[in-house]
Amino acid sequence: MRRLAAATILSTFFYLSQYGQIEAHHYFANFHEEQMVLRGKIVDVFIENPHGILTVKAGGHEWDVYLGSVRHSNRVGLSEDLFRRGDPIVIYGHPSVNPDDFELMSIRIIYRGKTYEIFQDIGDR
Amino acid sequence: MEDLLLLLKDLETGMLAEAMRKSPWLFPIVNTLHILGIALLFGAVSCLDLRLMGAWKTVPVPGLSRIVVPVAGTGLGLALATGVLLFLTRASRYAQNPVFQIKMGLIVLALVNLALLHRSAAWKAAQEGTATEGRRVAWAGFLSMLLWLGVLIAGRIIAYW
Ligand code: HEM
Repeated sequence: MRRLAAATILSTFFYLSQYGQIEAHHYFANFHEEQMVLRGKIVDVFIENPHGILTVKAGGHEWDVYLGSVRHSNRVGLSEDLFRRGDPIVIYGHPSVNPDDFELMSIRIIYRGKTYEIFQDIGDR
Repeated sequence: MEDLLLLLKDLETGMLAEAMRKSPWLFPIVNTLHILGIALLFGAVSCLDLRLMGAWKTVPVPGLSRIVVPVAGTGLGLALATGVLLFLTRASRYAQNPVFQIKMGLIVLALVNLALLHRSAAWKAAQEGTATEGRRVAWAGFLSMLLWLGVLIAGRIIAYW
């Protein structure tokens, strides 16, 4: 019984020590490791839960750019009022592993001369 | 089919769905309550199902059911109510997601299994303590665990589809 308890506690600690890495990997598993830059025009923006979406038209395609939760977006300085449809915008991010998806996990947004850091830490995984 | 899609679009543009998406706290709270419902439901249901499948034979079924059935019922009610709220946020998208459709199908099957078991003579006998085992009841317990586990897995897979 004692040995079982010790083994459980040890494996729990081990699991928790690995948790950050496991979680990060798992959450972004569908996005490519390589970064890309998307230059286009704003189509629409939704600051929403569980995550926001910014739609950008570039090279004849509509891209879905993923943002964080409402709280996360507010924290990094994004709001729906900030963006104006048709405005040019630059986004650094990780594209979906499937190129036909036209989806981008955002890292950094440059808009009207201001830089917004979104998921800066993904690049360091 | 067209009308259904329009109805779903109306639902997701409604005030409730809008509040779920725009409020910083509503979504995480409802999401947490969905998990709480699932925990109560699956935790309770698996105890009774394992007993029906032949585990802990010395534990009387009537006493166990008295504890487990109301807990599972509460969990089910919570999961259903909060599930509908989560669904509303993107109703048309979820309705067209094959994993979401499978999940709803599995919920229906699990509820049918539940209703059939509760109507059976074998269950009534087990509740009176006159008979605790039997292939009929064991199979119902096995199916119940399998189906609820399927619902849980499908629920989590939706986000990755
Ligand atoms: C009754 C048993 C149910 C179980 C065991 C169950 C299980 C789950 C699980 C495990 C998740 C993932 C939660 C998360 O990742 O945070 C989930 C999410 C969800 N559930 Fe349920 N659920 C149940 C009922 C329902 C019902 C009745 C509905 C709708 C009518 C529903 C709609 C949803 C929705 C929309 C999500 C979010 C999916 C996503 O985008 O990731 N659930 N459910």
